[in-house]
Amino acid sequence: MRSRDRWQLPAAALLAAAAAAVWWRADLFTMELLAEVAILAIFTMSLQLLVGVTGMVSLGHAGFLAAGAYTTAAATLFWGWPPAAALVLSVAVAALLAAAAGLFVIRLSGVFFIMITLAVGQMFHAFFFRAQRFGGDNGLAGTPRIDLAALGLDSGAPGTFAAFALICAALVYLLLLLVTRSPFGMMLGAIHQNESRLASLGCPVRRYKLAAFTAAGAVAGVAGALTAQHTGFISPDLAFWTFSGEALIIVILGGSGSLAGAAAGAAVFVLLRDLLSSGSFWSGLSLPPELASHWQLFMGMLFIAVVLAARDGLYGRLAWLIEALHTRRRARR
Amino acid sequence: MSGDVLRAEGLYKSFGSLRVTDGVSLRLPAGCRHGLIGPNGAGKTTLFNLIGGEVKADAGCVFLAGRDLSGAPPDRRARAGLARSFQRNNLFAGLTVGENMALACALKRRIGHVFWRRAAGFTALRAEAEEHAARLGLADRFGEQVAGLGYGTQRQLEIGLALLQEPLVLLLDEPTAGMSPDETAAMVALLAGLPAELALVVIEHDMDVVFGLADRITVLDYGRVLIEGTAAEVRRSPEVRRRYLGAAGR
Repeated sequence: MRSRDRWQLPAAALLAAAAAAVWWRADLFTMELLAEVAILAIFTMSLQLLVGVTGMVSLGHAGFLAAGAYTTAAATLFWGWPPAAALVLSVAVAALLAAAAGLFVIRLSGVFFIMITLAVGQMFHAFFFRAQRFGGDNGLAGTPRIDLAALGLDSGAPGTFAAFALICAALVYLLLLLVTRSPFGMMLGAIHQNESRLASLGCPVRRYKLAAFTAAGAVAGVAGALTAQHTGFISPDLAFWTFSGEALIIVILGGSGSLAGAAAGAAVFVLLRDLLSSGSFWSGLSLPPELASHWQLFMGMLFIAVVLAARDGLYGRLAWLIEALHTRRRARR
Repeated sequence: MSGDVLRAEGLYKSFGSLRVTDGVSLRLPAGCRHGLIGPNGAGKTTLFNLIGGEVKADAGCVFLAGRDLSGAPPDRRARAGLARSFQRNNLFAGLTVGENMALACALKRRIGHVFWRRAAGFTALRAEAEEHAARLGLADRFGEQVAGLGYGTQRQLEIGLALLQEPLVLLLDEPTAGMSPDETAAMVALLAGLPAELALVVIEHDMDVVFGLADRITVLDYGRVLIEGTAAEVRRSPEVRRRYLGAAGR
């Protein structure tokens, strides 16, 4: 896997090119899907920093996304903040909450870490579920989108917002790529490999884990703010553990440790869900369209197939493909 | 007393009803070469774990260069100048030799927290790692993954990582264990060439290595210090002969 690290950037470039190409020809509905892919990719890349890079398998990451979404809703709807300022606040709040939760959760590891993060995520859910100001379990609609009028753009247009979300995802990717390739990122990778030896070499492992947990929470906050802007709607479901679980599946599907893989996984997940849950897809295969309501079953089967067939995930396959093309082109010369 | 770079006083540790370390004290002046020997289960590795902070002592204190580190976690002790190698190779198996070394270098240079610059941009880091690899005879293995290396080579890296920390005190837990005679000879030569001011403690079962290297020796038995003295004193001690050395002490 390590030798394929050099395909990290080409793989990301390929993804970006694919996104741009789709965006160029997309209809309104596809634009909505693209925006969703971009936002989910931000979320899964932030989780990748924890899971694939540092080896901290969190099952409560959606809590910080929800915190970002609710902060954006509160700031824009209750206090009349512009969405751009609300986005910054969302990141700060998500980071703060992640740091506070991190103080406790990083003391545990393995299955205990999974359980305590699950509990933390569910605490967020329980809190939002009872928050009457935010509509309790009904949620709250009406969060405005970022104002791009200064650029002569209308973020209400699906294409414009999709482009905005994609650019945000690209920026997050570059930021996280820098972090994972920095000395700090080296340490996180080493924590994954052998935490106790790294401590013996003088690394304050807990502080580094806390920093990673906080950073991942902050980026999840970005995804949350953009979710609130995109759908205009927030609900406690955003914090529910099944969403954290979905993100975890995507990260594993994407390939361990790879940011581009996590983003690719997000794209595959959204597109597959859209495909499998549409009745016309099933009737096109001359199968009963009712199968569409069982899309999760087929998605699950697909995931099992992918995990069995490609243990290195989408990124591993993607790197393999690029490598094969590369060597063939060289051979032809 | 102030001349001692490491001072461990009255260390106690029990695992359940088993007293593994029973009032052990150890003083190391700068530049000492100290051997730690004793039968299996005498508490040698536990003593290292207590000094290194991997295991918390029930009682007793540890001072390093005058600083009280009794309750400190391993990483703080390491930053204060303590380094150790482990009885079983304890490496970053999924990384290359060079990456293993770069980790130790980055921590020594206190740049592990830098997240805003690419590690590849720190050319001094790679240069130091390469130079160190050459010194350890690992230069041609620099880009290889550790998991694929032979045992002896991993062992060299195990010691090498500790050396990279440029410590005041170095604890080596059976550095030559499992090595071939050639590798052992190379390790002994490496240990002989360590900086003169370094305080070195070696746990070793190879008596030729211990007596060749150490100027003072502590013999542990059932968690207690049986005797501490110069190599000659230990060799002469009838009790040590009876309890431990056997044929090797003759």
